[in-house]
Amino acid sequence: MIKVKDLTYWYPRMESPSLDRVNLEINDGEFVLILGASGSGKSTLLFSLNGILQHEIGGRIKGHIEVNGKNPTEKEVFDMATTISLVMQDPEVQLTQMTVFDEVVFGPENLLRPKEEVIQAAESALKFVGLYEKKDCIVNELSGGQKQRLAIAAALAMNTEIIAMDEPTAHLDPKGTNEVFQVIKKLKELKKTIILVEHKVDNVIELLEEDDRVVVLDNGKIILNGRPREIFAKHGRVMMDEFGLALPQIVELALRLGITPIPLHIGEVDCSKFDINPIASNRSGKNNIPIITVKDLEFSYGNGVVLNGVNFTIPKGLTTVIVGQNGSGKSTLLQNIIGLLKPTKGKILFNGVELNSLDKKSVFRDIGYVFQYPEHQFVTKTVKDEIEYGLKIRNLERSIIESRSREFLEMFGLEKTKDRHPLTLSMGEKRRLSFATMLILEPKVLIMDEPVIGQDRRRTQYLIKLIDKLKSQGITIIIATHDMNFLAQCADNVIVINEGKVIFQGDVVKLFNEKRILTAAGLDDPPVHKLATKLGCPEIVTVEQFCTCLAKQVVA
Amino acid sequence: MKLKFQYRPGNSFFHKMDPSIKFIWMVIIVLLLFIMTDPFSVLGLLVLQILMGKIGAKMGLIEMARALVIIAPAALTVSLLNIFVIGDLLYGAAMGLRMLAVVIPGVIFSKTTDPRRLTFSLVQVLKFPYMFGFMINTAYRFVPIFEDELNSITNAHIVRGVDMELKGIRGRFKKLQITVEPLLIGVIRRSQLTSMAVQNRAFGAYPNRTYTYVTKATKWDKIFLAAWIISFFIYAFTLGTPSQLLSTFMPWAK
Repeated sequence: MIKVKDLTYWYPRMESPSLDRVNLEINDGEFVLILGASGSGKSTLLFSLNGILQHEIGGRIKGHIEVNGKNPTEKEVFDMATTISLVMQDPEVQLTQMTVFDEVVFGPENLLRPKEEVIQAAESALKFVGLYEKKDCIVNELSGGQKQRLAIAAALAMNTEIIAMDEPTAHLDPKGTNEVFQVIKKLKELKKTIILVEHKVDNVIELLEEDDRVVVLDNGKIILNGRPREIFAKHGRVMMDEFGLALPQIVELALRLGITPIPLHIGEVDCSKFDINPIASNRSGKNNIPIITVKDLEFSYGNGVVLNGVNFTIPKGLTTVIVGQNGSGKSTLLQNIIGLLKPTKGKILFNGVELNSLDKKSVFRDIGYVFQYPEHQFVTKTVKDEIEYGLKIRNLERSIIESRSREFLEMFGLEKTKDRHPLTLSMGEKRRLSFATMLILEPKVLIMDEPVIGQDRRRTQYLIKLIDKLKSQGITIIIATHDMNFLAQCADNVIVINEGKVIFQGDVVKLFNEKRILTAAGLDDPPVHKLATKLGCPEIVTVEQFCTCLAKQVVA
Repeated sequence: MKLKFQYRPGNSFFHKMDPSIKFIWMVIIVLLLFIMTDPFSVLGLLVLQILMGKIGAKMGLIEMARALVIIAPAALTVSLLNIFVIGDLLYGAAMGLRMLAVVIPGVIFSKTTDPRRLTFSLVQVLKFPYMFGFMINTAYRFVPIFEDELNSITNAHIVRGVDMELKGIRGRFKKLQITVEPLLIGVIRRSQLTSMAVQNRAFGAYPNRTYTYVTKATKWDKIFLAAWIISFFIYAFTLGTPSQLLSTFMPWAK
């Protein structure tokens, strides 16, 4: 059993606490889902339970924690590791061994458990997560989903009663996410105590049962704590509107339409209650003027072919989203489009002119690129200098630079931080700064690589609004993402890449109705589309559209 | 990242040999080369290494020649410098050949040694602290990741209009200046998270740990090593001179 009483915690050098008088009790064998916006204290709470916070990170702590009778503030971390295991967000940082088998035996070996016992525990953990056949493989060669399953196997081999998981699918594509959730479902059946922090609520809702628990954190405080149905039904609106959280699409739909009792997933929806009218999709690539044309593109790293015979066009002034599994070649394709990589074969035309014949500086002036990790792009010591950097390189007049930078600092809400070092900003501020540095240069095309990884609803909505605004200014947007809800909300044109080849180009509606393509590329359509299809309107892909198209809701 | 001389699985004599024994053998070769000052002995040792590479490690002659070609310009420079500065043709030739002779055992070692087995062997056979083995493992896992990150940082700067094709010392320094900060932040962030992850797996709980993978030196490994140690001393006290031996190992005893 876990008991947290009046827990308050301050990170080193921070004045305000990251956890504020947290009280929580978790019974043995319970499944607890922790929700909260970015920076609300979810990970901090998990790290306090195994003593990492107290012994590794430092800072100040007040209150009392008890995990199966052990106090993590007093016990050593290795002692706590026999009681609670932690699976972290980034698969790359938590796996340290060369082979799959070495990774799983690593923990029990550290505990000096007998060799036979260690081997047995490792083999059964690998079988449990479906990686036994890969036990001699090199960890670096696994896919993202396999790496996270391996991290879960490593936690299982420790044979702890409690497993805590901190957004284990944040970096994974839909296929990898699904693999991990299948394993978590099996873990639930083992009746272990599971604490899961997760943003992908549409996946996690499928796991939740009536006696599971949902805990919601905001600004370091537990603001909601109860059974899933009660939390979503009673407080769903507040969670969405005030705390910036994403709800499962079916729940959001039910709340917006006032349906009671609130269904948690499609299986609980009474389809006879709806009568919806089909609509013509308002997002389709009607504009046929191409700004970028890719012809017979091939690209290889040494002997490894990454892109092979790729052909497509990017329509001017629209949003094109490139989707595909991790490692399918999306980022390589984007880097070819901007000229950071040179095609092995084929050509890329920008406004009808071959990209390779253009001066690189003029390409970078016309095509902006926002990288996945904003901190990689910062080159100066203050936020203001960072915004002005691109303008200075173009030798613009000082007065113009000053007025433009003032305008952009205000537009992106960065005035108060203008004298701070860019790397000291919060993740949301860093992201806004990276957009500002690109947009101030007035690019004709803006490329974004995985812009919504680990972002909460509020930040995702902000980005969608920004994209719409840019589009209205005639800027062409190209995005690489795994997020199907985000895709449904902003894409006019979708390109699906699988094993280095384009297997689909068209609009979102067409993609979501091509099951063969979705399966081949390891993608999945969002629940609202599944429901709409069931109701005979397969052209509906977002909650917004569903609500608009609702002609009649039959009250039972 | 594909390295030219990285490990290639196989079942040759050297593949089967315990990595620590192989490591000591390599050290003996280096020491032998230290005390060899005549080019004929060095050439003999070089030919012997090539034969061992061909028969014992099943390596191709071209493959070994490629390794020699890489070091050849440096070896030639050292030879010529010694010949012209000291004025001793034979000594100069020996110095150049030394550099070539030290390459082959290195290539045999890297091509036939599984890095995973090496780390286990260093800890289990040579009794290095297990923390050391862990560090090698982590480096092996993270070097390609950091290489990707550096690449991404460089690209991110290029699209901002930063000239990343700067040449010369000043250019390199400028490049280093702007990439090192974000890279370090990434390294520190990953190191902290990795440290948290391994502590959560009870790393460092006890002075010892269990090993499910056990590696040890076989009878043949020991015979091979003994033969080389004996050969070393035979050479040192016959063809080599006691004064060379003394100056190599006990420079203070001159």
